[in-house]
Amino acid sequence: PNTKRQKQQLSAQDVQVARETAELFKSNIFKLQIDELIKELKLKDSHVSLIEKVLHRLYDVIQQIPEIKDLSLEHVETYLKNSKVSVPFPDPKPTKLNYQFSYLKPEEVSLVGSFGLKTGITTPKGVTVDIALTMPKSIFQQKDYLNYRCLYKRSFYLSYLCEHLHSLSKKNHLPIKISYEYVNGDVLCPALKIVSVDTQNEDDLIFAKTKSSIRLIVGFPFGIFDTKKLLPDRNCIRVQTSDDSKNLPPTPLYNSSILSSTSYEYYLKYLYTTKKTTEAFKDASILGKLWLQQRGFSSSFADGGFGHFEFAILMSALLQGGGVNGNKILLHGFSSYQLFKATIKYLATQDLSEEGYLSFNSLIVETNGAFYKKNGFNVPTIFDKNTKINILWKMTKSSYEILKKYASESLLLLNDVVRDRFESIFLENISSDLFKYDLVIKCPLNQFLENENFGPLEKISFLTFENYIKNKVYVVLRKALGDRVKQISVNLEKNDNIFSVSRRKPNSNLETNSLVVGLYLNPLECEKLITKGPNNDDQEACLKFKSFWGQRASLRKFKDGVIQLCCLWESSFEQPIIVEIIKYIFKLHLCNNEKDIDVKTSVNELQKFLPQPLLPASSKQSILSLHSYQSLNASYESLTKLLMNLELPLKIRSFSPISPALRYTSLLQPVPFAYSNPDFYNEVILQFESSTKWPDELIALEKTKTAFLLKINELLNNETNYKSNLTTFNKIQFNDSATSLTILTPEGYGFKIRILTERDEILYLRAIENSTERQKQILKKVYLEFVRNYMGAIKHHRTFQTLSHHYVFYSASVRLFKKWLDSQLLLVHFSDELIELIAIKVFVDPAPYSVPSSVESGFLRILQFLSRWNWKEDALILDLVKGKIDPEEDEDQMTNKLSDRLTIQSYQLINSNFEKLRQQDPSGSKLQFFIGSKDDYSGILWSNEHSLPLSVRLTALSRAAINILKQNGLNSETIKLLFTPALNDYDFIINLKLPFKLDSSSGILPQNSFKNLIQLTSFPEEIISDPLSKLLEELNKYFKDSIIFSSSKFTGLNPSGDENIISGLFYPGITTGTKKFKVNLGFNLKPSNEEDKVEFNKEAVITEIFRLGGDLIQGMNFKP
Amino acid sequence: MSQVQEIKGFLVLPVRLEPTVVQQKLKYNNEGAIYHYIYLKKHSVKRDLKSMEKDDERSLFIANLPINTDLKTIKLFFGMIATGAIVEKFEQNDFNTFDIDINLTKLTSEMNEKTEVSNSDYSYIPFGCGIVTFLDKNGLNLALQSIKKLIKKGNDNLPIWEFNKELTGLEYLKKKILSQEYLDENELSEKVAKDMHNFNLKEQQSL
Repeated sequence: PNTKRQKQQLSAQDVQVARETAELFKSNIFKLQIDELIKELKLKDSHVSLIEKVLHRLYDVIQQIPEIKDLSLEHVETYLKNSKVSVPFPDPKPTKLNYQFSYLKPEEVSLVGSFGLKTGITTPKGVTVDIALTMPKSIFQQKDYLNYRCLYKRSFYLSYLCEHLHSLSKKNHLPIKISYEYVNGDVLCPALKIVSVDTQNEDDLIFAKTKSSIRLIVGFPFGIFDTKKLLPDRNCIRVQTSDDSKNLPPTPLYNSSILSSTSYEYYLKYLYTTKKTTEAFKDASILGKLWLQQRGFSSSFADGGFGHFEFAILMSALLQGGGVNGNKILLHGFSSYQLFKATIKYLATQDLSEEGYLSFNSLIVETNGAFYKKNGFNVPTIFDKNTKINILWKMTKSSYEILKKYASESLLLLNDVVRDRFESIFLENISSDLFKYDLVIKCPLNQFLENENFGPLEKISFLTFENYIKNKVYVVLRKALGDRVKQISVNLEKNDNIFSVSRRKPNSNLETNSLVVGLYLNPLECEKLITKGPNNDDQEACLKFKSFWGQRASLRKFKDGVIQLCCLWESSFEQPIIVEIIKYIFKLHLCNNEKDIDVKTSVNELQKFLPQPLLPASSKQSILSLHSYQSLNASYESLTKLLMNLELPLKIRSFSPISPALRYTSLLQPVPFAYSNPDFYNEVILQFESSTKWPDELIALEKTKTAFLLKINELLNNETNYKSNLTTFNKIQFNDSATSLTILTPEGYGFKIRILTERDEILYLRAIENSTERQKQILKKVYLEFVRNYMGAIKHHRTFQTLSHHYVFYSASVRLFKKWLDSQLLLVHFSDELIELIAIKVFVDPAPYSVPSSVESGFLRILQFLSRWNWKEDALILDLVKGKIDPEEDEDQMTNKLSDRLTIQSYQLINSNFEKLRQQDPSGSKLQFFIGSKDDYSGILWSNEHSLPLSVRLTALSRAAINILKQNGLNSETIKLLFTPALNDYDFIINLKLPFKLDSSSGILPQNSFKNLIQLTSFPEEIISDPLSKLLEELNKYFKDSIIFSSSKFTGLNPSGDENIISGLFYPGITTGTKKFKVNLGFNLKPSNEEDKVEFNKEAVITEIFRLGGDLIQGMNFKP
Repeated sequence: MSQVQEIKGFLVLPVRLEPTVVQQKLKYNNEGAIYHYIYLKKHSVKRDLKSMEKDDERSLFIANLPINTDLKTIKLFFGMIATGAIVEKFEQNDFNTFDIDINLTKLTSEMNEKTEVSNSDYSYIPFGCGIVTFLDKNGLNLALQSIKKLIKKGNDNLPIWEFNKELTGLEYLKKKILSQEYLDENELSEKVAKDMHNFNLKEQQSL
């Protein structure tokens, strides 16, 4: 036992060492990548020196501005009457005031923000250089923090500054354009935004080429007001109410805005001190800034209120402590990677809103001055004890939830020791609404206006109607959707922070603006039918529940006898339940139940493209319902049970299904008697118990298998109510003796059974061994075809059956993806397995997003992945396991999950297989999609036979689709466009029409029909699926070496149900120019004018195509 | 139209393809005749088997056959251009388009047998080609003479290639589907039983 324990210890230690080595190795690679990245992001030296020159001149100009003292409000108005500049007074605009306005030389002018800290980075939008002007103390009185007083004074100060800058800058050869800008979207804090203006004058200092703008922020002197009075829970705007003024609500936004305005320079110094003590602080700040930027976060209200500044302050605080006992989370000697990672980990794992908050003291830099304190304020909080500012004051619970989610996801990536995650963490921009949410809902703002009670008290708490309604919508949705959603983002479609200096404030866009609600769904809960409430005996809770849910709340008795209040929702094929709930609850709470709120979402439009099965009540089935698949499965189970009990010379060992419908990925849902469905027959591989009697020769072996199938066929037809017959199986070249047994079950489903024995593989390998060099290449392909059709298919099926269950939105997403491919005539070219592997990528390896939890996000991210996959250079290596590793899970669970995962060794093995392949085929002309996984280390199993133009087309079409969506958004028009075939690139199009419809016989609900009138109840005498697919097969048989034919696989899915097209693309290398005559050139040849040479005989081929298509051809169009 | 009459030892015979009804209706390629070119040569394979030599003297190798060519269409064609040249059999490879012969029986069997297994009594024929064997040597010669004459005469007298009239459109495709989807069980049983019997015999012999 001792040795065993030693062994265990040793191995545990080994694992630890191995992990650390990998981690170290990774962090080294990471460091190199970081260094490279930071070099790239660095601002150009020439730009920096130009900006510095500009700043000096601007400083000189500011110094020239004359002072003015003690103007009354009336004076101000007359003073600016002839000016183009307005005073950007915040709401409410002052009317009568008993204090005066002045402009005195700023106490200080200093460079603040990232440029000041030298952590500025190049961005597509250009750099903003922040300059803080501190107003002199003498302008203020002690009580100016109350009732907007200091803010009014600043507004005047700003407009006066603006007025003079305007004229003085011209004289000083600094041509500029000035506008007002709300700093970080704070309507209480306007600033001046200055951009360069191009002139022809050589003396003028022009900085347009730096793409930078300068923001002049006017601040208050540090410590001018009693900070305690401006704590987040205090009221500083006294409004007249009938109640006692002591009951006025706190004004945290107002208070924080004022305090922040006193601290621009102060915090710069604080951060500067940290930078001095921590070498890698600067680089880590840059990493943080980039990480936030890629996720759409910035210090601005609209971008979540967490940006470079907040990240840097958090790091500084964590260098002072941050643990429960004040223990340091970050150490001064950390590398930038370590600083960044530990900060992300802190954000991911410490709750700074409900459970606790971070308290630090910006006065004390070195000692343990920061603590994580239990019991949060229910708002995101990092509290500076010295300035009394909550650094996170611009964050909402909503944005905090999302930040935390991103941090958790990035932490997983940072912990990944198997593959390089640098790109997902820093380089990919995931801020587009189109891809990041599972569901997006838009509501025009104006519809909320009349019904909302936005009174004085709401106004002082929220400052703007937009803030108020955003908060209300968030609160209502949080409560209504509960655990159906993970995170909720509520934002405005347009955020206007910049406005002309001739205006007091930006134009109100309440009439044209919309709320954008982005939801991250919980896949396991979002479609559940019942919202459960309290038990009937808890009266108080019941009352609350009823008042929130209105008439929808009703009593229900559950199986266990408990009577509970709940709301019951109705699932539907087109609309997710979530949307139903939102419509209901918005009407109830945002519209006083008076009219429907306009809730715009494109998910319905998208889901419409999933074919609805011809089954009773299918319109009431959720998109997640697998009911139809389960019926098929039941039929499969009874069939296999029956077969197991047949009297056969050998005992059956196993059945392995390999059909998409039995793993929930078939485009059409299985419907009984739907024989026109191209996927109607579900293939199953049968294996017998091992025997030594199988013939030792391949064709004889196939014959023996056929004998077994004939025996089963006889038994089924004679002794059961199943119907069966034998069919050829010709998917393996040169093996024309294989057969399948087709079985029709009494329930109306079809199966096709083939036999696999333990001899097959040996014999295929023997064929390779016995072959000549020339034959070998082909026989290797034959072997691959065999693996693909037997063992490979079995493994794939098993894996995907499990994954489809685990990732609940995978099934619907991959089906919609197949539908898209079919609309674009590409589905016929790729195997189901290949398509499913591509589609699973965004589920098993969703980085930088999370696992898609709607059809919309699943489908769009598959398209996006495809549009970005550079298959020439990158292998797709998939870790086909359930779930991701949660950093909060305990060690045991984690090890369990890790054991299933791809190890770094297997990952590298697959990757080296890819590299070998690309050494021989660098441009990927032979094989494009390399997809490796635990099921296929070779990476080529499912990707072998596609020709280059098809892969290129697939990439091009997905790119085009993504571009359309990026430019025009997701709406009914763009969705329709996605599913309309792009036909312009083909050389010719053949229009085909069948004399009968295939929609209902494929199990598809025909458009505009009453489904009750159609019901499939029996099979026809002879089952003929779709003659058009046979036509495609025939065309390929004769012309596949000269023409690429494409078609839609599902004729029944076309609107009319009987029409289809086949498109043709001539291989340019074959159909143009001349070739030396040979009998086996593979295309139709006619003599050319050159001696002994021939060329492609297009006219004859077209005539032959007409011949084959015969009466089915309706038209043929050629590319002009 | 090209004047080429021979290419690398092959006679080049243009045949006219008649547009289908649909094609005429859609007015595709209505301007002139559509020609397809077949390339013909006396069939000769260097083999020492006596039976083969016999065949060689009366067979014709044809490349670039129009689609769907079978014994029926071949008989029809030669009946039209060379009355008296009676076609006995027509062999082609209608199965795979690799230009290499692979026999999985031979490659996977470890029995040391000398005799060939069934259905390889002709040498490998590339896809789209066929071997026509006439009843006798005269038949072959007659056919070749007629073809040479036709080539010399040129355009106006070139024969029409008669496709098998049934082999087109929906009915044809249906037939194709059915023949693949419904194998005749009795036929199959018999064939399997026979093949397995032969296999067992061979196996016993090789032991």
